[in-house]
Amino acid sequence: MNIVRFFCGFFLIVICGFIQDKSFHLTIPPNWSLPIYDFNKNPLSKEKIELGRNLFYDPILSRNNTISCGSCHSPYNAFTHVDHALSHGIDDKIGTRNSPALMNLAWQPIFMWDGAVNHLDVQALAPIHNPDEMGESIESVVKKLQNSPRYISLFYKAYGDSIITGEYTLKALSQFMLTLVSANSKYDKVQKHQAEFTIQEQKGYSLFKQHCASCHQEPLFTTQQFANNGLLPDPELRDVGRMGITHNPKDSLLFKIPTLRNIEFSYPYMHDGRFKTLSQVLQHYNQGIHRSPTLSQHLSQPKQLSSDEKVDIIAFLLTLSDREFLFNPEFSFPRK
Amino acid sequence: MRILLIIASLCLSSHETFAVENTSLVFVPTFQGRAIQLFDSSYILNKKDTIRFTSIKWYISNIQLLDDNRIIWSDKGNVHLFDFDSNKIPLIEIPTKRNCTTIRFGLGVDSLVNVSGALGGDLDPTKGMYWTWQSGYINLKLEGTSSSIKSSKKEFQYHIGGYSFPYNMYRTITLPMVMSDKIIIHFEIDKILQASDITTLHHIMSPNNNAQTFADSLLLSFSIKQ
Repeated sequence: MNIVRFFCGFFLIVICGFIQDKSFHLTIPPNWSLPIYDFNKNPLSKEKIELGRNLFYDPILSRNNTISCGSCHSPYNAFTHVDHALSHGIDDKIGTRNSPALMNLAWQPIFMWDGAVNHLDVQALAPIHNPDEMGESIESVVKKLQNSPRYISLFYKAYGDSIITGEYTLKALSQFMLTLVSANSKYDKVQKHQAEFTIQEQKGYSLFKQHCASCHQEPLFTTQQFANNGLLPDPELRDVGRMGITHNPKDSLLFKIPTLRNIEFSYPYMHDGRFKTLSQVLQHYNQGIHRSPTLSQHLSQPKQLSSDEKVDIIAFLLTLSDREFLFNPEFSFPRK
Repeated sequence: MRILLIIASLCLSSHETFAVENTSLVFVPTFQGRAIQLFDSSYILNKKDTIRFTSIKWYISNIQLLDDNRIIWSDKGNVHLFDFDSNKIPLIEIPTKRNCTTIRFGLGVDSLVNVSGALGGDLDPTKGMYWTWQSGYINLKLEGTSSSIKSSKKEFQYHIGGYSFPYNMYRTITLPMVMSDKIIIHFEIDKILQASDITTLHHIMSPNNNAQTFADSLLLSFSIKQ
């Protein structure tokens, strides 16, 4: 009798496994490390990703239904806010920083320019609650979603439950953002021997490895650390960067080292968007370094890049553009 | 789908169940021995400061029962939100371990919970106990007004949280206890307020040195009434 009962139970569990198999697996690009994000705690599924995508592009997340995540993280600009040094949010209010580009987030251990956020799942809480960004609260977002028949249906498809919670909302947003993997630029194709650099790009790559790679380490083009890269502090913004979170003077003026992937599309540059072009950025590393006690040791000597060398480095940086990523219809505004 | 899983689990589980004797664990916020009522202005601190509470919320986690130093029961990983504002005071059931001499629990949530992303139930960020401008749970929210505060609104707001060195605000509290049918633990809010000067320090909104002092005062703010 017990054996019969055991086999019945086992059989039913196997059937359940088949019914539930709508999982989605992220492809890890060759030569990349394993993702930091723990997918076991938020297993990807097509329905959850689709829900997250709907939420990402929906201004319902803001107080007056005007600002969505996509407002400041546009897919065609490497998921950042092009043309604005400081991103603007609800009621045309201007924030204090340039919105970061979103990609390869499963490999990112810490978020925001100052590392204020420790997990992708809770990242969205910051812009939702920021009075200059979305000016809303997660409590109110969940209530609005619960009054939307469309979302009740999308959440049910994703979680098999009629209730909408903050946890589900945030995890669904994570699901969509986790799929934003950019790993098919010309640089990547060269690594896979599917393409070749031009002579200029190759020169630029060598110079890049010599001058830039200690912070912008391949293949993610960031060490994921924080650094003071010698920007003269803005007297109005008075942004101390990482120290604002840790209160440690050693972290004064340190900001997260951003990835350089899709850099061609993610202008303007730096945490306050002070540089509009890559040429200005290289000029900064050549001549503009502001010396302060926490300056990165890699910048203690000014780079003495010639005009030709700067052009070569930029030619290389343009090989980091991944058009398949930028124009992937799966990542763009969902058509209902 | 759920029904199938339930049937499956019934098939796989045994029919035998054991009756376990339980004890109720109750936390009561008190002021000089009296149970606190929100919006009641009759609390007086240091014989001069009139206090009125408008919000009291806190987390209790990792409850353990000990026989001397030996852990005899643990609900490790479980976190309970005490939301005094909406009268959601959970009655925690613990097993009636007669040999128990000591109870231990955490005020707040430990660092592991703080780095685990979005969580549900009492830890859902919609409960108003999660900071949004930086990651981390608020272990204790204590808000109200005092006649001694000079600002126009006379408000105090203490949001005590933070999980990373050197500002880890999670505190483990250990109390001697004799097992009975019902255990009432007094959370002596007056003792916390006495540890700092409410007239000068009336807002703590982030993990910092003031929050650290405040969190340390929690260590002496619990007692068992039996």
